[in-house]
Amino acid sequence: MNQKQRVIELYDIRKSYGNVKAVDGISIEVYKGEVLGIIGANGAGKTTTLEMMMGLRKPDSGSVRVLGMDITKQTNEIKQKIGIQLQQTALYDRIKVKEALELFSSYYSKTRDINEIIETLGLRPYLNKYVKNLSGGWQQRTSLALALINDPEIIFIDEPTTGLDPQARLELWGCINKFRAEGKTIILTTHYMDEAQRHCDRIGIIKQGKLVSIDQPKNLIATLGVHDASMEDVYLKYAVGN
Amino acid sequence: MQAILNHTKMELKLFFREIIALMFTFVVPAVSFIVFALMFNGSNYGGLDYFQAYIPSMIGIIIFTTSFFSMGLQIVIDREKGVYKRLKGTPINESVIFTATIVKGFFAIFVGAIEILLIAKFAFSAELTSHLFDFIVALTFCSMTFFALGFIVCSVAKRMQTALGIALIAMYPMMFLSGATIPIETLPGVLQNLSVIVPLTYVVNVLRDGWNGTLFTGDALVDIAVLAVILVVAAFIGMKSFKWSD
Repeated sequence: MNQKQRVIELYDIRKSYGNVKAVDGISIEVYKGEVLGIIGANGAGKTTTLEMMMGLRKPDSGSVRVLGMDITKQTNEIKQKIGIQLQQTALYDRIKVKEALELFSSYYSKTRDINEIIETLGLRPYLNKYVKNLSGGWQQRTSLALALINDPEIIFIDEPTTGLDPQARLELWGCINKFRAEGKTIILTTHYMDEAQRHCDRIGIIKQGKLVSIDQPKNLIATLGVHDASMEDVYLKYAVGN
Repeated sequence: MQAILNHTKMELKLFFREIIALMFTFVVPAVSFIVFALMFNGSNYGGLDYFQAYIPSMIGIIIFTTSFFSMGLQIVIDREKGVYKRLKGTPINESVIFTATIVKGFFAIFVGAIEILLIAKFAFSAELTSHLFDFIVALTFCSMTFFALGFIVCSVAKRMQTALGIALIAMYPMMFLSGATIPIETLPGVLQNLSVIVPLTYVVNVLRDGWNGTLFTGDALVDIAVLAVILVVAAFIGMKSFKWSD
């Protein structure tokens, strides 16, 4: 972290759907080993920004470099080295947990030990169950397991804890923190400010397709100049206020 | 290569878990075939006996149900769930997914066809074709044409309900106005005219030509030409408008 190595460089990316500017000129640098949280209201452009970093969407303009490579040119090399978890579980209706793990591991040239992932995420009792029959928390864990299967350098997680009960959220964060301890770079979006404050090294705030601010949680809170303020207050001021 | 194999194996495995797909591929055509055989065995259809006419017909119906339900509808369901978007985040190529889908389609059609042949042979002691090569050529060509139509369905339909609606509405003319079940000659004039615009009509004709050894004669020319045009146009539209993810 000392000599900050940039693993993602977004430069002035823009994306419109019809007349709606979903992302309107965002530039972000993400450093190796950090947990970067992206917050903002629904429709602010968080997911679109994330999906452009993942290579799922092409920006209308601007450039995306991941691990030093141009995402439009070295797409496959990049995809070998990143792991993604989408908002929806996004798996076949009738696939079992174990089958999904095996299927996804067959896509990559380098893989992490599946058994280790299963143990870490506690998926062993669910291996022969259909993913769609699992509770939200276990579906999220399955998605996370798939995101880790290639032992990625960067892990993207879109709203990992939305809809989970407090215990499931806590456990999921336990898993995420374990991978952070291994030096992985983690980029996530969330609506939970307490989580963002506790777990993120830096937080980027997106409002109406623009990056309003990006900094460490404590610095963001300090800008409010109010004693006892929290990320909730930061959110209300920057992501909602004018 | 390994990725194509693994992905295709998974598609096939999932296919055998889809009750609707299995019903339309292995149950509906087989049951119709048996019922019609019990009713019409011994009838004559423009020089063909029941089996010469209806073995190709039922296999034609399998081509339709596979293309519209097992492929078209299933792609829309998977796309709506975000499956293809998730796959886009992996190194796997869209051409691998496409190949796996097509292999699944051919697999369903050929297995469904073999089922009809086994029923015909063992339940009704029917004589099978002596033009197997012609029939396989006809079957492959007709399947490709309908796969292209299936991809148009999933280009038009964004939601599962829409795709299901299209497939179910298409099912009636495909089954009843194509000659696959009711002989076209016995339909009232208005409906006979309508049969001309039902793509499965040409499939039924070409499959019968393959089965009865007239595929490479002038008789089959018009039907083959119509299907070829449908294939080219549908594939073109499909390539322009089909998207694996939004």
